[in-house]
Amino acid sequence: MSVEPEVPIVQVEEVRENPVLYKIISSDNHVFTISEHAVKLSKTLWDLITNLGLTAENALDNPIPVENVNGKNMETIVQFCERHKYDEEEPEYTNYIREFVLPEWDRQLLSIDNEELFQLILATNYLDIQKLMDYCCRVIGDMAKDKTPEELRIIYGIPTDAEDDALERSASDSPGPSG
Amino acid sequence: MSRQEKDQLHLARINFLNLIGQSNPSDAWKLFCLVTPNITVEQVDDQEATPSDLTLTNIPLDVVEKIVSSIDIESEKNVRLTCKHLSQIVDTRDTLFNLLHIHLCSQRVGIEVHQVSKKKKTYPFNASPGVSHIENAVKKFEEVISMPNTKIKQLKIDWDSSEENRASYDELLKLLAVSLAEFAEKVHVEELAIHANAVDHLENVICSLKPGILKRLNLTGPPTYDDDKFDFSNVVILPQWKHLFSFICACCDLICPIQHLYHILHLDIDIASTSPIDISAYRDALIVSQGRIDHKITMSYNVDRAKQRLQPYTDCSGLTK
Repeated sequence: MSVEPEVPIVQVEEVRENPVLYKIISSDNHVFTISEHAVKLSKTLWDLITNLGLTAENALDNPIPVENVNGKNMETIVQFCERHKYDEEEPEYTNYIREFVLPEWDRQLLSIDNEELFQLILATNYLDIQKLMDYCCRVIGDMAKDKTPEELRIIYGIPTDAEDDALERSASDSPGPSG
Repeated sequence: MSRQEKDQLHLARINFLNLIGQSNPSDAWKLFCLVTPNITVEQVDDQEATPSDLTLTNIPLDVVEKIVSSIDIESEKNVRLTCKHLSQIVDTRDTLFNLLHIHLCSQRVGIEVHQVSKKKKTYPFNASPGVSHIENAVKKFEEVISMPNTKIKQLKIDWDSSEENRASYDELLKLLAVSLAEFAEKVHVEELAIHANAVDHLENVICSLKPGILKRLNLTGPPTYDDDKFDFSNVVILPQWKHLFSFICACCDLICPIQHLYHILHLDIDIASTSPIDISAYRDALIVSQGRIDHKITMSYNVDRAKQRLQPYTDCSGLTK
């Protein structure tokens, strides 16, 4: 596989050590480099790398296309993975989601509007990055504190049942591809 | 079209949709475009090309479940009131309880269960020859907490205190702690109101709860005697203690390293002893917290010295006894 990058490589973090680097191409053709330790945080990407048999020698010549994630989200994800690549494993982490305090750096990284956050969550879910997923869910969950159902509808963009039914009705009333 | 313009347009669109209430959103959007003179075809296309359709209701179910699992009961109750879809997700996934009250009186244990969106239920367990009412009550408790993803807002355990019931109550607490501890996924309890005769019982119950969830601890206990002191040194270092924001102890004096209390917003306790170093550390923590806390600590020894060490905090009337 040899896809030539169409835009300049985005170097998210200066690499201090001498690690194995991989290239990832987002859906809008942005190219990112990511170190081996960082890419291991994404189960999907690491499985892909293992299955493709990429090694230190051929990794940079074989960029990995990720069709479901755009450049903006990929940049956030790469930043996050590089930041947390040497974090210690937390065995009880997944069971006790609320035991952690969201670090300030991560809170800043995730200070984006709700739609971007939902898009990031979808990307994170696709790439299977457990820690980022927990952090995103925590940020979204924190928005719900002390809010009324009406406020929650606005914050999360939830349509009321009446609006939802109206949308369904209009979808079923509109002619299909054949008609 | 700049980001700011896009946001303004989006905000106007939401406000307009709210105004016209029940009408069809796509008709409303077309109407909005018509009544906005400076809107261009490009802007309309831009909105259609990048629809802001991502909401909590149309992202994958496992993601919504994960978000729901990370919020507290009050928020979850409100989330389930927003729409049918989320109500269904919450009801299928979690079992929410407003209150689980276990009460022991002479020859009887009652369990009162207030499940969200269901009627209150009471289960009485009476002592009779050959039947252990305590064991049966504990079995019922296990049945309740083994429901899918049980979340309990308040767990209340108390008794009609009398010498004849004391042994039964101690046994009840011991068995409850054992059954809580046996669950692989520890139980979500946000508020614990408990009458404890010994600090060991309390410690066992607390350390069997899911860490990071407990917000309020309301401790009652036997009447205070001179030699009645609860040593909290082991309790305050539990992971369940870290997120506590209200702690009220209305039983006896506590032996407690005071610097473990500064993160608690609402505190009402009697302290039996603490070291001068602890008091200084507590004072430093108070300064960092910038007075956002409501503490009432009663100390029975060295009051003047403690006040001196707590300077610049001058309003220390709670330190006299």
